Amino acid sequence: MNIWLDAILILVIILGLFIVASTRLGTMIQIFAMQSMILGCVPFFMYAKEMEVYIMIVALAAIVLRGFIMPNFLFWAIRHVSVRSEVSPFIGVGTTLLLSCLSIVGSFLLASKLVFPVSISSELVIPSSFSLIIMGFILIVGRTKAISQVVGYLLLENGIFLFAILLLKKMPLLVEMGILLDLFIAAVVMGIVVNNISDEFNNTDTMALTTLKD
Amino acid sequence: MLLFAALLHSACVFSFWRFRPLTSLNGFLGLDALGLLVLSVVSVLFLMVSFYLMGYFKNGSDFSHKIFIGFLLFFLSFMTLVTISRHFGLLLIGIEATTLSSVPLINFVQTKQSIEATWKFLMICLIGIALALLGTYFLAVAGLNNVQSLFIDKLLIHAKELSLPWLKMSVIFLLIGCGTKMGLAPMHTWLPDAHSQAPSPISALLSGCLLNCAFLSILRVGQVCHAAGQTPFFSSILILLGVISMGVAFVFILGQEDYKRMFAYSSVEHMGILAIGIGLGPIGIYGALLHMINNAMTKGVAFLVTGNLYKQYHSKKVSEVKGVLREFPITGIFLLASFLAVSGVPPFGTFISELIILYAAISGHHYWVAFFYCLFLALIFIGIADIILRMIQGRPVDETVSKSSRESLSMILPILFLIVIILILGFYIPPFLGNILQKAAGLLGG
Amino acid sequence: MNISLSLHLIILFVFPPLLLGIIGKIKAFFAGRIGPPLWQPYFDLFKLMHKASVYSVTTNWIFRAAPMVSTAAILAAGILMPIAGFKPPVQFWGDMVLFVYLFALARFVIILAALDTGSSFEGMGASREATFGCLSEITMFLNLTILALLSGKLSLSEIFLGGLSSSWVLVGPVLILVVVSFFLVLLVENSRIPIDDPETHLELTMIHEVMVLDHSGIDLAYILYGKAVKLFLFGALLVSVIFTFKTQNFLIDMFLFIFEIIGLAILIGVVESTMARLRLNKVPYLLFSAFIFSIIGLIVILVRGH
Repeated sequence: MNIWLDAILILVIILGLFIVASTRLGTMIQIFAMQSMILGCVPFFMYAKEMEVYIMIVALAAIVLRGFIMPNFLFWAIRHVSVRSEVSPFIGVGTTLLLSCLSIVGSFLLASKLVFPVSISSELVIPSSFSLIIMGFILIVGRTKAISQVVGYLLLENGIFLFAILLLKKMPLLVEMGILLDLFIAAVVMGIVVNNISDEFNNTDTMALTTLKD
Repeated sequence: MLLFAALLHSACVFSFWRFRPLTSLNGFLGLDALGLLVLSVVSVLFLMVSFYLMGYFKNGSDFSHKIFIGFLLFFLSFMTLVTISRHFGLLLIGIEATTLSSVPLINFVQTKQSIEATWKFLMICLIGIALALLGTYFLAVAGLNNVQSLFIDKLLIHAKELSLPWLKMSVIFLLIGCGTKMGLAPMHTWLPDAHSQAPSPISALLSGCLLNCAFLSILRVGQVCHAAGQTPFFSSILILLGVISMGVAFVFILGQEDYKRMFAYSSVEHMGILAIGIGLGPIGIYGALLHMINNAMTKGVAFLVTGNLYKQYHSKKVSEVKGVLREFPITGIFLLASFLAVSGVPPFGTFISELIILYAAISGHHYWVAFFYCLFLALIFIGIADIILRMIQGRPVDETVSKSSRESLSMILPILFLIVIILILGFYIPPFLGNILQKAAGLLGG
Repeated sequence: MNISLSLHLIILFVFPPLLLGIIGKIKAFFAGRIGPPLWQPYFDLFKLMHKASVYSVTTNWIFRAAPMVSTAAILAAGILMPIAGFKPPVQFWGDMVLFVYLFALARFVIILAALDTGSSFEGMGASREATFGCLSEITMFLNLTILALLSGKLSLSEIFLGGLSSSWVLVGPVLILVVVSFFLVLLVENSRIPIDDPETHLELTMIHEVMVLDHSGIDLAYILYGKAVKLFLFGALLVSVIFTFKTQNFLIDMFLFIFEIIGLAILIGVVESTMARLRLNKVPYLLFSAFIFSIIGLIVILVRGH
C-alpha cells in the first residue's frame, strides 16, 4: 500500500497548490472539499494492516465533516456575498505559486532532518503536512477577502490533521474528536462573522477593516 | 441568575482551598497548586464582574442579554476546564473553546469597529491555537517511544527521555500559539482591538482571566521543560518575548488616544513582565505568580472603571474625557487608583511583585534585562500618567455631560473590593496564599 | 543491426507528417466534418517543394539558412532518441543534454530568422516563443533528471531501453507527475492548444505560426517537416516513459510503438478539439504548474533516495 499512499499524498499537495493558485472563491472551496475527502482516506491506507474501529470512525468523520458539511456551509456563506472572485490579493498568483513551491521544498528539507521515532509507512507524510500548513499560511496572509482567509485557515487545519494521523494509534479518541468538533464550530463561527462583515461593510474585503489602528 | 452561578462557582473554588481533590475522570482533570491559583483568580474576578454587570445592564434583560449571559457562563466553564485539565489536548480544547465562546461577547454591540476587532481576534487566535495544537502533536511525537501520552503527570515523570529536537520544536510552537492567546508581542495584535471594542466588563474578564489561562498553558509547557532539563532554552525565549512585549507596549502607549486601548497595551506590558519573571529562575517565578494575581485584580479595576467612564461620558477618546475628579469624584479616585496600581506604585500589590522580579533579574546577573525592565516600566509610567492625569483634572469638555448618570452601587462596590485586595496584597501576603504560591512556584522549579 | 538502424531511420524520416494528418482528422471528426485526407501533410510537403521561395529584401543569409538549420537540428535529435525499441545510431554518455539543446538550437535559429524579417508580428511571436521556451526547457531538464535518477543512467537510449523497467511499480506517482508535466511541455513546445492555435489566421494571436509567416516554398516545407518531426520526437519521449515494457521481438515492439504514437496523436487531437485557447497571460501559469509538478517529483525522488 506504500505506493498508493505516496500517490495520495502527492495528490493532496497538488490540490493544495491548486487552492493557493486559484482566485475564484467557488473553485477554492470545491478543491478544498476534494482535498479533505482524499485526506480522510489516508488513515485507511496508512493503517491497512492494523485497522481498528476508532480509526475508521475518525477517518469517516473527517471525510463527512471536512468534505461535505464545511464546504456546504461555506457555500451558504458566500451566497450572501456578491463577490465571487479575489480581484486584488496582496500577493499575486505567480508569487504565491513560487512561494508555495519554495515552501514545499523547504518542508521536504526540514522533514529530512527530523527523525520520526517510530517507523512510518511513507516518508511523504511529514513533508506534505508541513507544506499544507505553510500553504495555508500563505493564503491567510496573502489574501484580502475574508472567505479566502477562512479557506486558508481550513487548509492549515488540514495540514495539522495530516500530521495527527501519524499519531492516530497512540492518541486517544477524545482529543481527535474534540479537534474535529472544534474545527467545525470554528468554521461556523467564522462564517457567521463573515456574514456580519458583509452586512456591515457591504463586502467581505478585509482591506476595509482598517479603522482600528494606532 | 448570573450572580447565582458566579457565587456557586466561587463557593466551589473556596472549598477547593480546603479539600483539594486530586484527580478524577481517568486522570484527565485534576487540580494542582498552579491550577488552583489561576482558578481562584478567575473565580474572584468573575464574581466581581457579575456584580458589576447588574448595574451595567440597567434596562432589564431582553433576549440579547440572555444570550450574552449564556455565553458568559460557557466562557466561565471553559476557563475552569483549562485550569483543571491535566492533559495537554484537553487544555488546548479548553482554550479554543474559550476563544469561540468569547467571540459573541466581544461582538455584543455590533458596530463596524467591533466587527473588525472580532474578525482580527478570531483569525489570529484561531491560528495561534492551531499552531499550539501542532506543538502538542510534536510533544506527543517527542514522547512516542517512551511516554506515549499527553498527560502532564506522566510527561513530568518521563521528561528526560523525550526526544530533544521534537521537544524543542514543540516548545517553540506551543510558545508561539499560547503566546498569541496571552498577548505577547509580536503576536499581540488582536489584543488592543478586542479589549477596546468589547464592553468593559468583558474587557476586564478578557484581561484578567483569559490571558491568565493562556499563561497557565505556557506554565505547563514550562513544567515539562524544567523536568526535561531544558529550562535555559525555555527561559531565554520567554525573556526575549517579554522584553519585546514591554517595548511594544511602551511605543503604543505614548500618545494613545483611546483610554481602553491604553489599558489594553498595559495588559501587553504586564504579560511581558510575567514572561520575564518566569524566565528568571526561582525567585522570578514566585514574583511572576504573585504578579499574575495582582495584575488580574488591577486590570479588573481598570476596565471596570473605564466602564463607568464610558457610561458617563459616552466616548472612548481621551480628549473628550476631562475633569473626572471634579464631576464624578468616586470614579475619579478609582481611576487614579487604577493608574497607580497598573504602573506599580506602592502601596499597591503590583509594586511588590514587580520588585521581586527585578530582584530576581539582578541577583541572576541578567543586568541587561533588568535595565530594559526598569526603563520600560518608567517610560510606561510616564505615558500612562500623562493620559490619566489629563483625564482627571480640569473641567469636562462637554457641558451636557449628564449629572444624572451617577454610578449605581453595584458599579462601585466590585471595584472597591478589588482595590482593597490589591492594597492588602501590597502590605501583607496571607499565609494560605503564600503557601500556595510556594507550592506553585515549586512545581516550576522554584 | 543494419535492419534495425535502417528501420529506425525510415520511421524517423517518413512517419512524422502522418501524425499531423491524424490530428487534423480527429479535429475534423469533432467538428462534424470529414476533413483533409490522412496523407494531406505529405501532399503539402510535396507541393511546397515545387514552389519557388520569395525572400524579402530586408533579410539576409540567416533567413535563408534558418529553416535548413532547424530541421537539421531536429533530425539530429531524432538520431539520438531510441525509437520503436531500436537503438539509436548515435549514443553517448550525457546525450540527453544534447537532445534538449538541439531543440533549443532549432528554436533559436527560427527566432533569429523571425527577427531578421523586421516585421513586428514576427518579433512579437519571437518574444513569446522565447519566454515560453525558458520555462519549458527547465521543465524538460527536470523531467529528464528525474528519469536519469530513476534509471541511474545519463544516456537516452539506456534510460528508455530497459532502465525504467521497474520504475512504475516502485515510484508510480512520481512517473505520473513526470508524464503530466511532460505532456504540458509537449503542448507548449509544439504550439498546440491550449497554448497556441495552429489554425488561427489572426496574427496577433499566434505564437509559432507567426514566426514562420514569411517563409515560403521549400523553406516552408522544411519548417513544416521539422514541426512534424519535433512532435514525433516529443511524443516518442512521452510514450517511452509511459510504456516501459519491451518484448523480445523487435517487430512487435515496432508496431506497438507506432500504435502508441498514433494513440498519443489522437489524444492531442481530442485535447485540441475540446479545449479553448488560454489567454496569453495565463500560459505562464500552465508552464509554472508543469514546472512545479516536476519539482515535486524530483523532491520525492531525492527524499526516497535517502
